[in-house]
Amino acid sequence: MADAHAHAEHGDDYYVHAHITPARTYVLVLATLLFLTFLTVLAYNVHLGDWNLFVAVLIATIKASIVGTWFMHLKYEQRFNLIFFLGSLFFVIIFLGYTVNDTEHRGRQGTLTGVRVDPATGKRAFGSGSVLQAEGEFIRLPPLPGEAGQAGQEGEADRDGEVPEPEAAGAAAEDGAAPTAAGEPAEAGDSEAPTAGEAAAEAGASPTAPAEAGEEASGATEGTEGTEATEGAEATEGE
Amino acid sequence: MAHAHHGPDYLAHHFDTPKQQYEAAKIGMWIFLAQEVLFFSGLFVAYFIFRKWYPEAWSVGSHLLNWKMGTLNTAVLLLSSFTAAMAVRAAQIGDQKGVPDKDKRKFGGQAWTGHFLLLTFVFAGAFMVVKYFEYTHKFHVGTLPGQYFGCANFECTGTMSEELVEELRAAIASAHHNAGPDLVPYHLRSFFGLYFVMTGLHGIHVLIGMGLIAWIWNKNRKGEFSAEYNTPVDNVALYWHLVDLVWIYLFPLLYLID
Repeated sequence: MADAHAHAEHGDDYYVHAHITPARTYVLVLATLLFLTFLTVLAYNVHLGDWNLFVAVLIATIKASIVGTWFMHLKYEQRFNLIFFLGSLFFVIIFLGYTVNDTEHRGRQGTLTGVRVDPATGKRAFGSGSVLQAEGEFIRLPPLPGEAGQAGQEGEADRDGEVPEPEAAGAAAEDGAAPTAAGEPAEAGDSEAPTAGEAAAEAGASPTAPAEAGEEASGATEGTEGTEATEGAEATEGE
Repeated sequence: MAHAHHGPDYLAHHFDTPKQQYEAAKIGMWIFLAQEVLFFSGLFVAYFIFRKWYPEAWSVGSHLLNWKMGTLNTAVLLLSSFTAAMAVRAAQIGDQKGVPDKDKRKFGGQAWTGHFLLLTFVFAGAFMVVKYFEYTHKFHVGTLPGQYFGCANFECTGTMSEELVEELRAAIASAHHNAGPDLVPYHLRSFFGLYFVMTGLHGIHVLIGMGLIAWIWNKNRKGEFSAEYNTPVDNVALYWHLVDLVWIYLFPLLYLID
């Protein structure tokens, strides 16, 4: 495009020569997009656990690519313009990827103890002081006497062992002592919730744990935990 | 290029050629679209973080939305993108006579450009009508953001309406993440906060798009576009496709999470 070699006065580089897509192609693109919409609704009704989100985002991305390629003419667009657009998507991926990765692994504060818990494993997150089973917003109470919990996540206990801390070591030892060895991680919720006494003890103990852990835990108790508690109180009042 | 007469009417004096003018406009448009992507991305990141933090709220929240209306709106918006693309195509073909490849020239010309733009406008309006029904229902039952959650019509009486309790019960029952049949996730208020901000911002984009389409339709009616010059149609359609792109992600993320 740069070399404006002089043809006649109005040479090839003078007017815009747009690529005209056949109407049939657009109809086909529309049909595909509607079909994919149908597919994504269909996938929604199949329970795939965490994969539901993946499938939904994958189908959306395919749809978005189709809209971009044909409706937005990216297929015939200047490379330079394509770089702008794809560049912005690239930065969105960095933005999203790093932030989500951080939030996935940072751990959450247990509502009872203020200790950070990795929601994925239910174990103490890095830099935290205790082991507490959390299920999202909730910490399961210990099973009633007589309801023997199934032990799961023994493999995970090893990971705790890596962090040299008395509490963690204790928990790992406890896990090892549990009767059934290889359990499904999904069932883990029933298993190794500490007793109320234990939880309290751990909460008390965590500020004395190694430097970073102590910092995390104490910050937790006075910070977010407090506000969440008051928010909860407001909620019950308000409604 | 120094022409005695600077060239066609549509060529601004600071451009040498129509092609140069076209390419400058397109670069500008793509930079704007890249900015739009980044503009929405913050909300999507917030969405993913909150979803991770409050899985029950997100699961129950999505079941409080009407997926049928969401699907209908997705179809309507895809149709509008199709008609927008057809409008650009009609403008690109223009009213030239005696073009050899007759089959490829169907639905071309000023009249068809107008028809397709009008259809796009109608679909966009239909999208907003569906959105209006969704919003008013949420106001009515009180599935509202923040402190207004549970307050029908933003009036906080301290009790939830029977309708809302019924909806909540059904949503919790069908949600895959729930803590118990009568436990309402506290952070539903955050879910609806994001729901209203994301769909609201998208809705504003739709309204702006409708204004732009109407503007282009009028320009086309006055015969300002031709096979040589149709950049405004092209760029407005690009904007419209971006609005569609955002919805393509919003729809499954808000309405279809289990």
